[in-house]
Amino acid sequence: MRHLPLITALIGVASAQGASAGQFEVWAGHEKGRSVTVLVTFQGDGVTEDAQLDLGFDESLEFVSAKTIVDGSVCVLMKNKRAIRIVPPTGGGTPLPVKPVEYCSFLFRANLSKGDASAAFRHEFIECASPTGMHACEYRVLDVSESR
Amino acid sequence: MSKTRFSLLSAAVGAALLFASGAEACTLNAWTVNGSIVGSPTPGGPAHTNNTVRRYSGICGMRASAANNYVQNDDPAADQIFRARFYVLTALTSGSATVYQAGNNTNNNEIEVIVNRGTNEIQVRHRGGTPVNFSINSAARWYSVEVAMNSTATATTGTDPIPANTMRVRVGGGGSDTVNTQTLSVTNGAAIDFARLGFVSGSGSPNVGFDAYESTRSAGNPIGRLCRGDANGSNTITVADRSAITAELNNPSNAATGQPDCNEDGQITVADRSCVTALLSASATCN
Repeated sequence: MRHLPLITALIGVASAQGASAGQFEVWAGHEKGRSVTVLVTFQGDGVTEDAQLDLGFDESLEFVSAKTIVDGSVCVLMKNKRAIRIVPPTGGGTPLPVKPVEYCSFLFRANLSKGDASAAFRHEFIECASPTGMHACEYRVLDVSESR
Repeated sequence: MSKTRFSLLSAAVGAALLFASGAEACTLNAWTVNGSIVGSPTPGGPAHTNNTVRRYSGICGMRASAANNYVQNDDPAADQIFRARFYVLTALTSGSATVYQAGNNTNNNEIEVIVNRGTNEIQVRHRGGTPVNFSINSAARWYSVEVAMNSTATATTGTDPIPANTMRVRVGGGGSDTVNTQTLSVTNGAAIDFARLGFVSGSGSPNVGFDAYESTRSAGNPIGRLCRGDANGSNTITVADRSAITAELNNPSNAATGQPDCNEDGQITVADRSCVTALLSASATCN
C-alpha cells in the first residue's frame, strides 16, 4: 500500500490525562478493483507499554484477511463483531517506540469501488496503559485512496 | 435470601494501607465471625510477609500444608439448598487431601471435595459414597469448584435450577475456561450446618492453596467463576490487564487486584501476560 497524500482524516477518540498521547493511525485506501487495504501504525508517548484499538466497520466493507507485521502483535477480526482489533506487542517494562511503527494490515472488499474508505470505520474501544496506569490515547483514520 | 461471602482478604481499606506499609496485610480474621480457624492455615500474598502463599484473586490467599489446618464457617443453618464455590491450587505432589467438607453434627460429609494426586483428580462425594471425578493437570493449577446441593424433594427454579435430591458439581480451570459438570444423588434431608475449607484431612504433601470462597442459599442462581486474566479487576479483558501484570512483575507491592494468574499455574510470570494477549486475540470477554 502506498502512502498517498491525505485526502480525509477522521479524528478519533482521545482519553485520559497528559499532554502527549499514544496515537494509532489507520491508513485506509481503495486499491485496484474493490480491495481496500488498511494499515495501522502506533506511535508511543514515551510511557505507554500496552495499547489497544478496536475499530468497527460498516456494511460497506467485508473483511478478507489480517496480517501481522510485527511478531507478537494482535491483528484480528473480532469474534462475533464487525470490528478489527489491533494490539502492538507488550512493551513488558519498556515504553513502546516513540515513532510510528506499522503493526497490522487488513484487507477488505468494498461494496463500492470509490469513496472515502475511512468513513466506513467507527470507534469501538481504545486504551493505552503502563504499569503506572492509563494514559492518553487517540487514533486517526486517514483515507489514502488511489483514485477519487 | 441471605448470602455468605468470605474473602481470604482482611478488611479491604485497612488492608490496602497495611499493604502499602509492608506490614501484615492478609489475615483469616473474617472466618472467626461465626466461624473458626482450626490449626494454622497460612494467609499471605504477593506483598505480604508470607509472600510465597499463592492467591487467585485479589492480593491474599491461604495455604495449608497438613491435615487439620482449615477455616470453618458456621453460617449455614440446616440448609438443604446450599451452594459454595472456591478456588483450590492443586499443589500436592503426592497423596490426597480433603479440601472442603460441609455437613452437620450427624453427617460431617454431606459434601466432600478431595484433591487426589494419586489419580490426578478432583473428587466430590456425598457421605463417603462413590465420587464424581474430574481430571486435573499433573502440575499445580488453580481450579474452581462449585457445588450446588438440593436435598429437598422439590426441584428449585431460576437460571440454574437444581433437581430434587441432587448435587451438581462444576469444576473448571487449569488454564482453560472449560467447565465440566457432573451430578450425584444426595440423601433427602441432608443438611449443612458448617463448611470447612483447607487441608481438612488426608496425607498429601506438600500443600494446597485456596482462595475466593463464596457460599449462598440461592435456589436459582449459580455463583460462577471469576474472570480469568482480568488482572485489574475491571470485568473486562484489555491491554490494561497486561500492564497490571507487568506492574506486579516489576514490584510485588503493586500486586494486581483482579485475577492476574491467567494461565492458572499458581505463579505470576510473563506467561500470564502472554496468556492475556491470547485472550485479546480470541476476543475473550468476562461474562
